Amino acid sequence: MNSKERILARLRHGRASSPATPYDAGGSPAETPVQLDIDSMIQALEAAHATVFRLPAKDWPNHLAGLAKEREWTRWWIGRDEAGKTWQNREPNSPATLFTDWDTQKHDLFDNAQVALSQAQGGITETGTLIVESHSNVPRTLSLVPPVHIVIVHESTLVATLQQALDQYGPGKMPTNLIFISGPSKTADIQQTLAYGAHGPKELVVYLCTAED
Amino acid sequence: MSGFSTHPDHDFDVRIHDALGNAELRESFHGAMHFLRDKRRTQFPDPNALEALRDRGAAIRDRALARLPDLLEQLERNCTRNGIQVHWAETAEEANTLITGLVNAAQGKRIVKGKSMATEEIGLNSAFEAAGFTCLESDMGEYIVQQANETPSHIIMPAIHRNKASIARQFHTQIPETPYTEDVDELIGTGRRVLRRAFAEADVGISGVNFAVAETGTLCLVENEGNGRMSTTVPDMHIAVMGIEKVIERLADLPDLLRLLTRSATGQAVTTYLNLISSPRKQDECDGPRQVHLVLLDNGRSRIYADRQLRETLRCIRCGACMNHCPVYERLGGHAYGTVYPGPIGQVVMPQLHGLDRAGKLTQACSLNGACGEACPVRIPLPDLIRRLRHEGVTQDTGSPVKGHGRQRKPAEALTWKIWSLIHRTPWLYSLTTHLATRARKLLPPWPRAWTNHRAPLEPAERSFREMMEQRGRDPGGKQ
Amino acid sequence: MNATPVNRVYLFGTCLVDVFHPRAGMAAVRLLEREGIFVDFPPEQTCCGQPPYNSGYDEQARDVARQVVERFSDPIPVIVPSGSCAGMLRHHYPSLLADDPLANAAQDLAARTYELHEFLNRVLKIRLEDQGAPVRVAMHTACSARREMGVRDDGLALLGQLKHVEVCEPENAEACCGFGGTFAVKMSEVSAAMASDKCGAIRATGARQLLSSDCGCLMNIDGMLRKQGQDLNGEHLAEFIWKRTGGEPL
Repeated sequence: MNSKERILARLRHGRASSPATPYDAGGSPAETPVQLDIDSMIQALEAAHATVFRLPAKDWPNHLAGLAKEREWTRWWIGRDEAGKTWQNREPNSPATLFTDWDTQKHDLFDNAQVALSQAQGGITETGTLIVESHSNVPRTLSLVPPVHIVIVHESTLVATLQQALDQYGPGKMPTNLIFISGPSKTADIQQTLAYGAHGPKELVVYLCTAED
Repeated sequence: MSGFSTHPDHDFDVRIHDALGNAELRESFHGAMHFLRDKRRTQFPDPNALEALRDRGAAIRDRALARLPDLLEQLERNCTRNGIQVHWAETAEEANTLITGLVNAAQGKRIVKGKSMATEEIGLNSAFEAAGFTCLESDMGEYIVQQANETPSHIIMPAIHRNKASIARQFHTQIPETPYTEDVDELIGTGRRVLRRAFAEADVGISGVNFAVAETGTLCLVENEGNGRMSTTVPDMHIAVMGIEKVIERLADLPDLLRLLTRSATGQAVTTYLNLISSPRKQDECDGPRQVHLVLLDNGRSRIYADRQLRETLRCIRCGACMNHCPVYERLGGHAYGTVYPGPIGQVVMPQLHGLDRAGKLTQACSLNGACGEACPVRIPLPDLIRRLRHEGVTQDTGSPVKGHGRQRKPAEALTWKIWSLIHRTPWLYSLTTHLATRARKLLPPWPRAWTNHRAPLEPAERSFREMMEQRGRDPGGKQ
Repeated sequence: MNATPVNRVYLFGTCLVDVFHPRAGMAAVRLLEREGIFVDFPPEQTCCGQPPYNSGYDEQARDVARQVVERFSDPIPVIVPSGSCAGMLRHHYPSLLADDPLANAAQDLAARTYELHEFLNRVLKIRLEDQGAPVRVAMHTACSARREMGVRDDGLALLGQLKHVEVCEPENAEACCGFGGTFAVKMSEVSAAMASDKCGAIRATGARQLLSSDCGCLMNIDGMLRKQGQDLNGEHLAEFIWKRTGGEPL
């Protein structure tokens, strides 16, 4: 027998010798159902130190351009998603770096990228969470390595809870990497003092886009 | 890294004495424990909702444990189908050999590691060192602890025993061109700078697993810093190490468990990152590891599993709430236990893993006050388990899967309880004893110094309660 | 039990009350009698068996527990003036004696075991008339009373009826005082560190008196306060209530 067989044999033998008593979970959840609530999403995100703007989808590029000017953000990185394309069209004169080849661009990403822009596939209003799937068009390190991460999310893609979010996935429907982001990177490992930007982005800027009129 | 004692009982008293005498340590833990308790409390404002959630958490874990062998096979099937390579290790040695073998095969040299208690448990860093690899801990707390050649003192907040001044000194002396500062943002900035280099250059990333979902073949990692994502995304090879008990049945089981985990551990409604990994990089994807390996670690768990009561230990989701609420842990800190898992869960897990002969004494460091059991999000009856392990420690032939039973038995103590039992089950003897104790109360031998060093000696009353009641019986009008 | 009026109960006095705090036991008897209840005190009772049980000596604990089950066999409530001893009877006897011929009797005993103040407050719903001078007291609820028995509120509710008594719970009230039976001796340094913090919190309340419904905690905290030269007059809750409500000296 190999290790696997020995471990499984011990478990099966152990289970047979002292079967588990069925555990009664006490029926349905006691908590009241959580409603989809965009205000609570904004509150949760802001409490987690994120910056949130809520505006019609067509307006975010102009707003972001203003913000970029104000913050003097120059070294932009984008992927081949809708947000990246829109941004590229808005700013043809100051092109963002299109991130497509890990092996050649990796060190540049770590050393020089200042701002990443990407689209979230959805969001969870209860906890102020963005759902980001790994994707052939967008490298997953885009949302991780640059110090500022700007996320575009459409309100039509929001759900109320993690449970509802996970309902959209399941066997055969899992992306390589499914990330739930609820704020900028942080740590309290030094004397319980909260500090942002431990390893991931120090700043998270979220554009909550309402449907076009 | 120095590793942990495989014989935690040795010098336990000395470590306790030293810990209690260390004012800085006491202050660090006092502050941290109260901070964490308060934060948890604010996350559970409704006690009924909390109890209902704990019920669901325990039920989810029990349901998974009831099907453990089947779920492990299902997990392996689905991981394999997704392209994750699954390995099984019965012991710490086997796991270390396996992992160093994988690193060797990939010709890896530089390794980064996200926070993982399973790899602490098997002493992976020492195995790496012996194999000539360097492995850098990337969680800020773990990084601080590793650099100081220490071990974590808490399973969630590894550097909780350290204050910022001591970390400031450490960074200043150990990291070139780092000025002394107690500004936490700057200290974290220093760690970020050093570790970013390591992430960018690492060949292999090691991580733990918070939960593994059998139905989808998915590894879940919960974190705030992003080092877990770095370690599992940037290097070409990702090796995840998990105890076999961490498998759950369905994706739908996750929300309740995560709710319990993050609120119990750090008092957060949600962590910054929840990372669900289901496969290595696919052909059309531009980044992510080319190989993902999952090491399923037994290391004594399947032995524990055979006992229905001890099996409840395996519900643990490693949140650390039991230590945060333990009055003994608060006074001693994690290092005094001399174990990978300190505090109540450590007092229960370590004797089961190492045997009662080597780790049975740990169970004495408990006043059975019940705070840990009350805090446990998955209702592990920790006080009952500690008491049971005390029983096994002093009892031969219990038929239990725990090794080293009876090895904590001391003849003098056993005799004392025999005499005690004889007196207390023989009413006339008990009566005589209490009679003598109350009459000769001024002449009693001095109380044990363990008591009188800190407290005034006890003095029996002039008349025992039973005598007062007897007196009343004879003279019923007297006091009515 | 609640449906029919109670007119007779057992009192399980506990060994610590017997030897160190007999007046607490007497107060319990008088409080119950004042409510018109006949108190049956089986004279051959000793201890609940908790000390060896918590030390892992189950066999010795079982020998003692069997006698308790046998001696308190009538189907009437068993009243215990201590949270930890009541917890032993209610929560641990059923498992300790699970494989014993007395298993069913142990279950039955567990179901009719009450901590004294729980019984006074919840079952008898007694009303108290405070006759004492204004005083500030610090109340320490034992961990077993708080967690195992869930009777913290009962003690406080009874105290709340005493108009001239100002009750303070010390900071970190839910923290263990460090007694834990043999723990206080086996792990004496840790125990002392815990007791010391508890004493500090109690002193900080500015109370003139320390109350608890558990003699173990009382011995531990009071013993340390006296060693420190502080005298907060530690007293069992039952004794305090009896005296405040016009009860004659015990």
